[in-house]
Amino acid sequence: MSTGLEISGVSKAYGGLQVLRDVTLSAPAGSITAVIGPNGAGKSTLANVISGFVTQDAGTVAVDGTTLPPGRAMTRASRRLGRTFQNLEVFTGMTVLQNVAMGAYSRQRGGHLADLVRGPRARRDERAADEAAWALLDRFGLGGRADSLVESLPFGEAKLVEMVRVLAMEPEVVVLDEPAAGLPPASALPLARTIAGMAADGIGVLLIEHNMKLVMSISEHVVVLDQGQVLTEGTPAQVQQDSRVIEAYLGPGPTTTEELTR
Amino acid sequence: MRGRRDAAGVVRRRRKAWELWITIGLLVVLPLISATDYSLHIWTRMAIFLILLTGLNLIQGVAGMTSLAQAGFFGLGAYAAGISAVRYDLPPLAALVVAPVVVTLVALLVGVLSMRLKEIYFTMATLGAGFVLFLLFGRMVELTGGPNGLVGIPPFSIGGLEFTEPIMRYALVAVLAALGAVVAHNLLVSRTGRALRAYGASEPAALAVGASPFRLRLLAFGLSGFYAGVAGALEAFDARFISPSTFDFMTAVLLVVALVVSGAGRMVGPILGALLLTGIEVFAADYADYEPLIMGVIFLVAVQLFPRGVAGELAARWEDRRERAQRSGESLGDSSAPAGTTRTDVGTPAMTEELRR
Repeated sequence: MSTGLEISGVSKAYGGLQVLRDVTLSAPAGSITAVIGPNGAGKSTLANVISGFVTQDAGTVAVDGTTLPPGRAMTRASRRLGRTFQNLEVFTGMTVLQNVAMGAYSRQRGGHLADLVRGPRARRDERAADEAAWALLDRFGLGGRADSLVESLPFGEAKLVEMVRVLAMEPEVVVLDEPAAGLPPASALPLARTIAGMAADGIGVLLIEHNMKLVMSISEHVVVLDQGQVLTEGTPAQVQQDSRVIEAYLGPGPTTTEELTR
Repeated sequence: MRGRRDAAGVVRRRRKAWELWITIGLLVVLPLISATDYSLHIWTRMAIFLILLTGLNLIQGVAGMTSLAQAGFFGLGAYAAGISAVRYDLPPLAALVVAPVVVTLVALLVGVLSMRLKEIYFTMATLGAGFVLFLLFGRMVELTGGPNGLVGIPPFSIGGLEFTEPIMRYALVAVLAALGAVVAHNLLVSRTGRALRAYGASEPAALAVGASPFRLRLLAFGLSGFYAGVAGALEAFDARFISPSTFDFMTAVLLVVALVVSGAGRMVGPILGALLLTGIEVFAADYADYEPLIMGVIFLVAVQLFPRGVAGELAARWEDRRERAQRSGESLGDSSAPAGTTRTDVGTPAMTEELRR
């Protein structure tokens, strides 16, 4: 079994602004690790460093013990690292099925020139990707939407398509960048179920999230990021009782954890 | 296309090839409608435009990057074939092979230099490349014949068989156009075509699933050059005379406009565009000076009526209707979603709007 995601000593500065400072954390396979923190804590930069969209100044990111090349987003899929985006990133102009099948892209080995002839092997690969996508869509209740253009879906379903596309990558590690952002409260439960399902499948999930209720209800381990540094980490219960966490979120002053988790 | 499942629950998707069959069907039907020398000449022009636009569609329609080099590549193919045959006595069949190879290499060179730039700078680079080629056609007098054109191009021939009969000339071009359409269709429906579209729709998500934009776009651009090279060689052997003015900036713009108006990115876009270009050429022959004006007016009206191109708009409407029918079917208990699965049928109109952004 995969050892999941390991981030070690990652730092990143933009000009004089230190966005990440020596961040070390791990997201073991088969569990949900959450990263929380106030706005500007460096959560999105962390997600971008892990997925190769941003090159770190120092430190390493490894999946299943293999260090990933910094700043090369294109290489992540073949290392079985998938991610979703804070702002919906789907392939408009393509059907839901095609969107999901794109997840299998890096597992299809045929050359691009071979696609001009589209021989038996290319067709077999296409069919395999489409059938895997169908199975996933059925599992997430999107089977009836397979042939709809993705832009015709309501926002919540489009978000789900993005997540299913990541699953089509057969990932070992998934980074979810604020999956609840923009979703109405009614979708929180299905979303939580989907994320829990990923961990149950043996995937190491790194959940970067603002919604405390979601984080506290499904995470095994919570890492609190503040001003680019790991402030504290532990179980949801431990983190919720940590006064530094409350202070980082709400500023100093008397307050209760209930306010946080509301 | 709606997926169907067989008894074992295995998904069988119906092929989405009807647009390809329209293209091939038209190539077969046209000479049956009229086979006079004049109409065969017109159909041949149409098929050459079809090859040009099929190539342009790969970079413009599928990859979403506007190329203004297609006319220059067209000319390069024509001159490469013509010069090979006239100056180097290459057999026409060999010249027909040389021309697309030369153009593909030039396209790859232009692509390597400009493909990493933003779309608009890529377009400017292709504009520059097209313009440089146009200038070379006129200036390299000893090789190209200069502004007076290259004369004495032999008809196409294989072995001793000369393609001088209009029907044979049409057949040659039509067969290659059909072959080109099949290859383009393959690319469009394959994972490579999907990845090209995906990259145009969401760059970060395409990177995240491991698609290499540089290689894919270079491939699409190189192929657009290959098609232009074939079209150019066919033009040279069909017209037997070529001059720079056929491959100027105006032609480059006309090609892009015709494709966009017809429906860039769809397989029927190039055939509609080719019919449009041929129609304009025929009907505007008496008013040649007004051709840009006519094209301009068509473009202005078309982008208002059909923002996604004629083919794009019609297909989208048809798909909308089909989807609505499908949904009403679902509400009658025909849902294919298994019971007990989660459905997040939520989201406000504003969010859907945001999605369409």
